[in-house]
Amino acid sequence: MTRKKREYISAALFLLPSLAGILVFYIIPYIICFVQSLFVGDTFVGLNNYISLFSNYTFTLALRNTAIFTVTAIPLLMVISFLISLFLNSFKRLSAFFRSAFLIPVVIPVASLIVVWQVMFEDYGAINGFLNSLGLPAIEFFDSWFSMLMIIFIYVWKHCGFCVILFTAGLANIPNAYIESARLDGASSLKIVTRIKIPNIAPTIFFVFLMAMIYSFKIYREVFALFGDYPNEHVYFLQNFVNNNYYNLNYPRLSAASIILSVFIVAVLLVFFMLERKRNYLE
Amino acid sequence: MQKIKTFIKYIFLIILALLFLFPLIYMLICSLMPSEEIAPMLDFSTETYKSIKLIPDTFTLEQFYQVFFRRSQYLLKFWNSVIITFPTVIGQVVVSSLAAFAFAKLKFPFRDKLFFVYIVLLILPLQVTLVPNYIVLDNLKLLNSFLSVILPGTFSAFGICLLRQCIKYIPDSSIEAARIDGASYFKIFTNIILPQIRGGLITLALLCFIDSWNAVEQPLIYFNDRAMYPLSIGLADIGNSDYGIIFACGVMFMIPPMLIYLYGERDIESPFTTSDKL
Amino acid sequence: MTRRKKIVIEIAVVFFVVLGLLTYFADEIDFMLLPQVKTCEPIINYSHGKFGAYSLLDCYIPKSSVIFDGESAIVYAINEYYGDDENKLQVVYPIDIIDDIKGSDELYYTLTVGDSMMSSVTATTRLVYNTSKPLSDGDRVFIVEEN
Repeated sequence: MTRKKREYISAALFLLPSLAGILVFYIIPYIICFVQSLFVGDTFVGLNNYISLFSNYTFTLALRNTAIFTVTAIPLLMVISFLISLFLNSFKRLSAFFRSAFLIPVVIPVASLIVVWQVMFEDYGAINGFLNSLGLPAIEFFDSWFSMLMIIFIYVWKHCGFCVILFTAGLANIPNAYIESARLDGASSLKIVTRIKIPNIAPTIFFVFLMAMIYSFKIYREVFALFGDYPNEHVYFLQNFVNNNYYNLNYPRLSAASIILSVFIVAVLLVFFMLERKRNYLE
Repeated sequence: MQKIKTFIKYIFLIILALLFLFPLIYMLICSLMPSEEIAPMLDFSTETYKSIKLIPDTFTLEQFYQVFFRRSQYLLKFWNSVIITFPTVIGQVVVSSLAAFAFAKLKFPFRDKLFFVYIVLLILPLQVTLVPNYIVLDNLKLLNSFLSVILPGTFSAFGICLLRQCIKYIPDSSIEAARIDGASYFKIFTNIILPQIRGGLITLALLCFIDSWNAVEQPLIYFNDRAMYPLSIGLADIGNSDYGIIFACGVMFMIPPMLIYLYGERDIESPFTTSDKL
Repeated sequence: MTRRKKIVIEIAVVFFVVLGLLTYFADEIDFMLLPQVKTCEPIINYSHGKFGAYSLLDCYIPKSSVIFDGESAIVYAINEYYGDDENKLQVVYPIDIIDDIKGSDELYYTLTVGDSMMSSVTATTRLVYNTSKPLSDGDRVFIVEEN
């Protein structure tokens, strides 16, 4: 047996459990979903499900909300955590307390904090009480476009710590020589950040983006816990749509929506991969 | 001038840290209040503005007493969460480390294309496979058992992507040397790779634990028996009935992930802080 | 393994073992922590005559069973029924008797009650006259038998 063949076989063995599981629990369901999206009941309807989806107001609403959230929250999270990691980097010595303080939001389970969020954001909650004492009108966090703001806040709050760690590690990898020589050349801090730091942590940025995207879909848990099955129209997400159609037993719509969601994600990923390939090629 | 700047920086840092820690502190404080203080706080129908009480009027362990001794249904739900989460984490770590090793260090055809598929699966939201999985699990007769949540969680692609990142940094030379010495790939895996990715393994364990501990959608759909619901669902429902003990229950629910975090805190940062590449 | 890790593992083990024990013995623990109550039935004086459609009777209940609370006087009565898991549950519920108290002597209050379903305290109501813990509506209790 050649050495290469040995390697192939070993690789296959190492991959076997993972491949088997992924096949059964991810790939096959995905195929089922795809097939189901082409049927209504037992009759083949082709792309009818997809077409009727786009004329469905609830679906377009869900799509719009999900898109708004994705486009707003992910860059916000990345920028804020990047800034915070720069800020933390500027301290010569940071005690472990502060480093762990930022990771705490990730560790606390969603369910434990629901009541805290309610107390803070309810119509007569703490934040509105504070606004009231300043003479400002109350904000209905649970029933207006501020709901989206609240969800974005919770999302950023929760995942900032993890992204800060990723960025901090990425920044630590930049050889000091680059920064030192730039400083010697008299570059301003802003230039250092934009011209040196950001380009050098490109792989980190990509990874943070990936994680942010994964978590942006997990935020559904908070939405579900805070708003229930039918949130107001500003935070009605695609996941709500899928879930509710499950309760309605409306499988065709559900499957078509899921497929659209996944295609959207693959498209975004492909774009990013192309970008990264190009960058690597250029370097 | 420098001193003032540093001072301001520290103030800002403290404010930032407080902002992140505030909900936790508030929850801890509220868990020490008796139910008489909690009731007005959670009664959202009255027209009065709530203020955030940071110091309880009465300091009592009554909530914890109720949760631990009198209402056993929450303890049972807690153990349901444990039954779901522990096997998932262990399974994920094992399966992912094996596969990550293959992706990072072994060469085989279609390796990168297959990995792309894995990344896509990683980002796929849960809902896409949630309902079709119902059909698969039904055919496997696993519905209404804990395995219906444990198994899909075990094979999530997250661990593989994370660990591959970590394993990539292990220099090929050490592996080559071991190969020359005649070690089998499995021996290389256990003796060389695993010790060096401690940080990655613990990070994976923590993140996977949190994800599974928080799971809400899958148990709702796959379990018929309400007694099997984990505490993540039970705690969300609690607002309607036993609101007097919400906070203590939340604290109890928070302890296991917190323990894992405290255990692995040092190690968590290490996989992302690799050595200087130049 | 650093010292910190060892401490965390110890705490974790203790935590889970204690929770396990509490869960395993949850029923027994709950049982032990129930309020212990002693009950009795009101003493009815049947020698009164009838009044209109239903008879009014004099009824004597121990003074210790009544709790005064501002404008109301509460006695707790036992309601027995079968719970979800076929166990017999004894639950207390409060009855406000402020309007019924006619008089009192050293050990008893005299109430005016009817013997139909319309009144609160009836001849068959089991009243709580001694409890080991304060009661509230809906509490499960453990009845101490006494001769």
